[in-house]
Amino acid sequence: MVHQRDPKRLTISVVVFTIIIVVGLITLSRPQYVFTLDAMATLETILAEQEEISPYETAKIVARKDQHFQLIDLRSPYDFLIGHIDEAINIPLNSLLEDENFATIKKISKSGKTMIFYGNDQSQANGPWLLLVQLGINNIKVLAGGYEYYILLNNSANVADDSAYYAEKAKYNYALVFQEISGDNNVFSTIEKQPQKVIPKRRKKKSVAAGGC
Amino acid sequence: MNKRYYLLAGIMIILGMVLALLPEKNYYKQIKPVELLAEINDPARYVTTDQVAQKIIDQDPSIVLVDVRSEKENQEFSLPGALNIPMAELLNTEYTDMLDPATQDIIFFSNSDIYAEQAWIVAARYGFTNIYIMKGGLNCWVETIMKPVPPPSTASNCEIDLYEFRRGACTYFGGGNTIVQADDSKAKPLVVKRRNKKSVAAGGC
Repeated sequence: MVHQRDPKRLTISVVVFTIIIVVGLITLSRPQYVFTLDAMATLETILAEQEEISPYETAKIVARKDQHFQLIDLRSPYDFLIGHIDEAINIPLNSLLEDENFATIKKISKSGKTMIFYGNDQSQANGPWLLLVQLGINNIKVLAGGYEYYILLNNSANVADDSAYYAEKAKYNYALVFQEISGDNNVFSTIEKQPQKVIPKRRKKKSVAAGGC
Repeated sequence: MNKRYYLLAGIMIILGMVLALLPEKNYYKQIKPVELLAEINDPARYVTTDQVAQKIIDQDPSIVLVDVRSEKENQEFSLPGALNIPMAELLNTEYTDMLDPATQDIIFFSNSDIYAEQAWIVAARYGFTNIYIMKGGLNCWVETIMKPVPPPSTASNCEIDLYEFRRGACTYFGGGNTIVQADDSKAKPLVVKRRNKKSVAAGGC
């Protein structure tokens, strides 16, 4: 056999191979951001529904300048300049994961403060909240109804239209609306209701050829 | 025998065991955090209720509507042809197997777009592509498609066209008392004229 003639060959190749693997592992670039929650754990976070904070509570926090909270404005710098909730800092959504901004968020998170994310509407803050939760930052709340509703609320104490706040509540009784507009004539209900056409069954004519008396 | 053979065999067995113990590989490609942020930031992930209506009317086979509300809500009302996958079951393979992100555009909807968006993020995280959110959800669906508001007479052609489309869609989805007269639809009882059977007795060859 070949390697018995040169017994050291196998050992050398094993050593070389190990070195290659070790070097490869060391030089492997580690990604800057790594998800700490998998999709299932994220789903559980969503189902817990602990993230929302009401605009009323937020208004109180702002009024008493609560140091346990930090408002974070996710809108564009332009919108932020026009108007923002007092004490908020601006981290535009698209630069959320830039080094500087992420470092700021981490710092706030480590200091034990709760962050309140808000965008124009609630869904704008929803994504960033879920993204950061998956990156292991847990103390984030989302302002229910978003900035627009918050401003509306602050300008007039009694807001009749609270649909922005209870966004996920059904505003209409869909089934009823559906019935209202459709009556009996909707395409989907008539499909079942259509009277079956009566197809007269004809007796087979006995062919003349077939017989007779 | 050479000791080295045992050594080599040992290494192979250990490597084999490592392979066997590796976690099951996800079928879908995992998304990176930065990519996910870019997707979140992309308005193209929203589709409007009008677009959804158009696709349903066209009977576009490439879309699948996913209702993430509870089963009860789904049974009361849902969009035609929508699949119901309650939020809690989103990663249940029994449900996800019904979806094929490779060939279908998956559109999530709920009462508004908040739950739908959360579902979207979980799905994106799971590795789904071609996923969308119906902007405004069913609340918006009612406001735009089922009860379209006529534009003011000064509205642009574009707005009037949109309104016309919505009225048409309303007729399609609701059946439209608006256009069809109620009486016409009451089908006359179908009278089948039968030929007089020739009685057996009557005939003969």
